[in-house]
Amino acid sequence: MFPSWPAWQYACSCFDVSRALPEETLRLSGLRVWYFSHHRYRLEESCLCGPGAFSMRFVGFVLLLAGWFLVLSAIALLAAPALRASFVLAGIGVEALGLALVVRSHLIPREEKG
Amino acid sequence: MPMPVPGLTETATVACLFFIFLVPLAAAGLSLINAGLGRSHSAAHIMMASLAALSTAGLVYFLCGFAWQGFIGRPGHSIIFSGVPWNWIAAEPFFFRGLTVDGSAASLAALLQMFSVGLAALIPLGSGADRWRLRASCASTALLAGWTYPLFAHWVWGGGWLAQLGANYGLGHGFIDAGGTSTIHALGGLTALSVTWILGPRRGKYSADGMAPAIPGHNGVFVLFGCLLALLGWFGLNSAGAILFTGSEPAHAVLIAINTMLAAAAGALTAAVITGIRFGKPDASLTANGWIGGLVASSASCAFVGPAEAVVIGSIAGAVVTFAVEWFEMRLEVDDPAGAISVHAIGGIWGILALGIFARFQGPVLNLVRDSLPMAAGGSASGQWLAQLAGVATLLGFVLPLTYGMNWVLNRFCAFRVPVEGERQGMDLYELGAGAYPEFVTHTEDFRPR
Repeated sequence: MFPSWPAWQYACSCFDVSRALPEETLRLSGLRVWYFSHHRYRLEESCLCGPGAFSMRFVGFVLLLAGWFLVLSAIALLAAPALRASFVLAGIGVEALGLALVVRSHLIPREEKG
Repeated sequence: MPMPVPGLTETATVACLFFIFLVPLAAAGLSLINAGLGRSHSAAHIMMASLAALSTAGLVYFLCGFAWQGFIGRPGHSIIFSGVPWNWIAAEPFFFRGLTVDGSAASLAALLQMFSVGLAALIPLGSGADRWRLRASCASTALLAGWTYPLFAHWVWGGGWLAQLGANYGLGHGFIDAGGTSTIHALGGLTALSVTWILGPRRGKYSADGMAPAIPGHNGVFVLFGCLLALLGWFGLNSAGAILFTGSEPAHAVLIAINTMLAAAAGALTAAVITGIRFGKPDASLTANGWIGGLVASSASCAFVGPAEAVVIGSIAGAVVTFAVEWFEMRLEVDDPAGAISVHAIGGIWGILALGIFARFQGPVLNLVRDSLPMAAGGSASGQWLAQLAGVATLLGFVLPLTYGMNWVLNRFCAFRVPVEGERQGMDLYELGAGAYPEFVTHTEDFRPR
């Protein structure tokens, strides 16, 4: 469930969101869905650059983790050396894809340069 | 699989202690390099941040770092995956309470780690120079020394699952890193990448027309003298690491020192030649980066390759680092004043892979996982390259998301970046209240005339 109000308020203040939201709004459970969507929007707006950068970064990190799990699974579950090496390389490939996305999501938009 | 506690002869203990005492020189060298490659109005700040990072890292490692890192043959937590135990974290008490400080291998390892975790913490300082707040850098260092470093170092040096890939799955001798290429440098370099992404570039670094004007370092002498100090530190780091974590004999330190020197020399000369050809004159800062890149790349395999291979490893590291610095700055828009990401992360990953390519194993006791070698002594370990590749995959797939996530959350609570005013004034005046060079005041707009 949701944490107590002071903890909730503190968590919100850390993300610089609560100031934009009236206290009563947060207390109304019916508006929590709106709050989460707004929260996500504010996160994208405040600390990430470019449209879709947040999603791209998130997917990139998920791919990095997925590639690592693929490597671990290949080592643990496959016994044939060639097959194991192939899957380890495939895992590294997935990680490379994830890294490319994370790097791409951190490029600076032209309007923010200078 | 239970592992015996490694023991050291008296000679090895004395030699190891001597080598460990050299390691702080590497920290001094890196601090000078970071300061020299930064701006003059942030020079005192970065030296202060280096001291603060070393202090924080040592204290946090004492508090909880060693408890999670442990050492080979000491208690740890394992999970069973496909019938095989995966040792993932140590189970030591906090505050070194389970450690008998009597010159045993474990106590020497704890001493070495107190310095080397500080060394890892210095690496991100170079990337965040001129804009990273002092208190935020200390908080980030605490996370590195208290969690990221001990966890990964346990996997590599504490008898963790990476070290046991050879024993459990027949991948050569398991993941090997004698001098800290992965645990110190690649980990520190990836943390530097995370911090740089979170901080963003310095003001004025990238213009709207796509240009990235160079912001040169303020003191080339600091940088080049730092390289010489770092060499001494690396002699100690590689030798002590090889004795403690791979079971090398003290006499092997001669080969390790030769390899370390050759790799650094090859890296520096390669960088000088490349920059000389490309720009007409050799570039001092990139040559320094090539030198450190060679040192970083040599650390993992310094005890297992011949001098010729060390030259090749160093040369490739120097070339890779030279191009990586430009690539990060121009293509990836990562503002890294000290080139720490290229040197430590890219050079480190190359060093890890180089061991899998060039290493020749002479004895049956490596990685201190005894009774587990699948092949006779003297041959090359098949599958060693796969173990090294698993280490690289772990760094990219686990360490990078972990360190990025932790620093990202930390940035929400304790803002990393100094305000615009602080960046304009310089970190020295804004955060410390006094500049490094008070006789040479160039920022007159910061002072009111009397």
